[in-house]
Amino acid sequence: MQRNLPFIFGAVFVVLLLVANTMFIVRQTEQAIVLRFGEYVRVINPPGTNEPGLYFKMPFVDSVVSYDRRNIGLTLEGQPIVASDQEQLRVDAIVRWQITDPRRFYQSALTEDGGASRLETFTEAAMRRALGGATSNDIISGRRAQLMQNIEADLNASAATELGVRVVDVRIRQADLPDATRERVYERMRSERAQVAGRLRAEGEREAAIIRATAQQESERLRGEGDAERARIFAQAYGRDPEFAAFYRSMRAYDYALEDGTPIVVAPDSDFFRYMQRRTGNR
Amino acid sequence: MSHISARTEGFKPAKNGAHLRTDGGIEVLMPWNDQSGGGGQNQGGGGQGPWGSGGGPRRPWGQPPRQQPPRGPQGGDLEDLLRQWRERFRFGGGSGGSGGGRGFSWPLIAGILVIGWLGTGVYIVDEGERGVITRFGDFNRVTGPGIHVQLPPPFEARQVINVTGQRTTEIGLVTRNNQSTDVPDESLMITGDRNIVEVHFRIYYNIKEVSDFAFQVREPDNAVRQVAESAMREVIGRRQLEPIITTERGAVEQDVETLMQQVLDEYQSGVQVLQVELLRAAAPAAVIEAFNDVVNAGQDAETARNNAERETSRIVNEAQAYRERVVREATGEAQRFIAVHNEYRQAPQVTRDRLYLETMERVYRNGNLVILDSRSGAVPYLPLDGMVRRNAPTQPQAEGAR
Repeated sequence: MQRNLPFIFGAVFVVLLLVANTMFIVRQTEQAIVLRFGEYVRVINPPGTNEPGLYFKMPFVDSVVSYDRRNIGLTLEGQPIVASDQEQLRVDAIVRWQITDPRRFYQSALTEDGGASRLETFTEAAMRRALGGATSNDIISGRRAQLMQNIEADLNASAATELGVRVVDVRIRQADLPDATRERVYERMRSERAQVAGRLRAEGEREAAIIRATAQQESERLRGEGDAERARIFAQAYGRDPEFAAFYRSMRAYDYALEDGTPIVVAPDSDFFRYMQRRTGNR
Repeated sequence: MSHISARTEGFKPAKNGAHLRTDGGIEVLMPWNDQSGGGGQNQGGGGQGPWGSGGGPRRPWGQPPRQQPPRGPQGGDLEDLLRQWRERFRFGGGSGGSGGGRGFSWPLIAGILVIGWLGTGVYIVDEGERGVITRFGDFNRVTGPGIHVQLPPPFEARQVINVTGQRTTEIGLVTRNNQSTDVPDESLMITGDRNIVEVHFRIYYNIKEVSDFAFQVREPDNAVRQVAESAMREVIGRRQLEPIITTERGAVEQDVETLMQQVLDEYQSGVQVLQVELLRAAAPAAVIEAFNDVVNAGQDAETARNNAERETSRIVNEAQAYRERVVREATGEAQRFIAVHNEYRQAPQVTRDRLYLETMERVYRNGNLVILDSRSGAVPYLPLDGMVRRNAPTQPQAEGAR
């Protein structure tokens, strides 16, 4: 028995070796292609199918290349884009993509990293095409969603067939002004704010002036009312005897109008002095 | 074997894209590799992609072999190893029991190992979690809270994911020890009217479809973050600065939530966005002073208005007072006139003379009287100025003139 041990172990090794080279697992998150001496044989579990699990292959003859089949993120940072209005922008984008044709992908990119860097190049070009024809306003706000769709469509037309991938989504994460421009924007924001502040203050003053003027108007109207009422009252009273009213009022006016010490020139033949000249008066 | 070995780290996203699997399984048999002089163990431990090691055609490759405890001493050459193993077998099998005081039997060890192996298939799923089980990598079932049994690896693998627990991610700031620091690269966003606004926000989300979350998107939490930032920038880009920082905050939150959910559903990420919380939406620090001045200006304007309102009430009240006063005075005067007039009508001539004389009496007494004969023609030459100033000399002059 002891003599046989090496042979038993040897046999176990060989069996394990064969099993390990015959079976392989394709996980839910993966897809795989089987190559026989480097030649494509088949694909397992590509997107759109659901066939993960345990698989068999010819040992030592077939090899398996597996790729992720999930939605993968690719980030492009700080792409300088010149918009159609010559404004410089720094655009960051996120590309969500998925390997849909692993055979094609294997041929053109071999590894996921290689594919990602190819896709990055494609995306940069697609972004230049799509964004270079748009104004900076469109990129920043107006038609952003539309432009992202254009890039996505462009990529799906160019990169997708070439690399065997599908671009699920392109999102402009950030479309921003370069730092030098940013300071200018701040300057403009400050001046705009100053303008608003000035306007608010001016409006405040204007409204205050209007309020005062309205008050003045009301005041005059009230005073006018008073004056009118006064005139009516006097007219009614003096209307009883205009001649006497004139006399009466004149008397009062003389009383009030003349200050103390006012020089008064009086003719000696005035009414006041009539008895001074003649005992019986001169009338 | 190499595939099997991936049982525990089964769902860790592969660092490198492709794992080329050819004849890799061999490496489990370490001594053999050593013998062949390939530096087998090092080769296994590199963790590089299949293309990293260069040289020659595709190299046999596999994950680093899992080292099973009972494998015995490693290294050494084949002869040594075999000799050791032979000795062990002699202990175990030869005496047929633990007679010699060495409690060491192969079946016992094997039994313990098998039980231990089966035991790894027992697992607990907490409330709020779900277990996702794959059989040979194929999604098999989702298990709810409780204790569960799965086939031990390599047949089945599990992933226990918290689904109802709220996950959060913050964008625009980093919170450390309850202190948050602004991250300008994330927080500064450009608005539709070409201004820059500083936005800090937090996303609350959980998982609505655990199998999608586990299988559809790589690094789903990171994807949520990216989508959130992108959505926020898009929403901010459609709006004007002033509404964003004042009245439309709620609308911004709502729009971002809707847009994020739409995109994440498109990815089949299995993520449910619960809430978008706008922590801060304000002018950036560089221009905050100018913004504050606008607030001050508003206050100034309000003050000016208030002052004017205060004056208004004063002016109007004064005018009302004037009206009332004037009317009452006029009424009074009119009544006085009427009273006098009533008496006057009884005796017109007498009253008139009396009134005249009484008035003139007062007037002449207080005034500076000059009695001048108008027929003398001297009026134009009177030094009136002098008469006003000097009270005394007027009288003789007047006398003289007469």
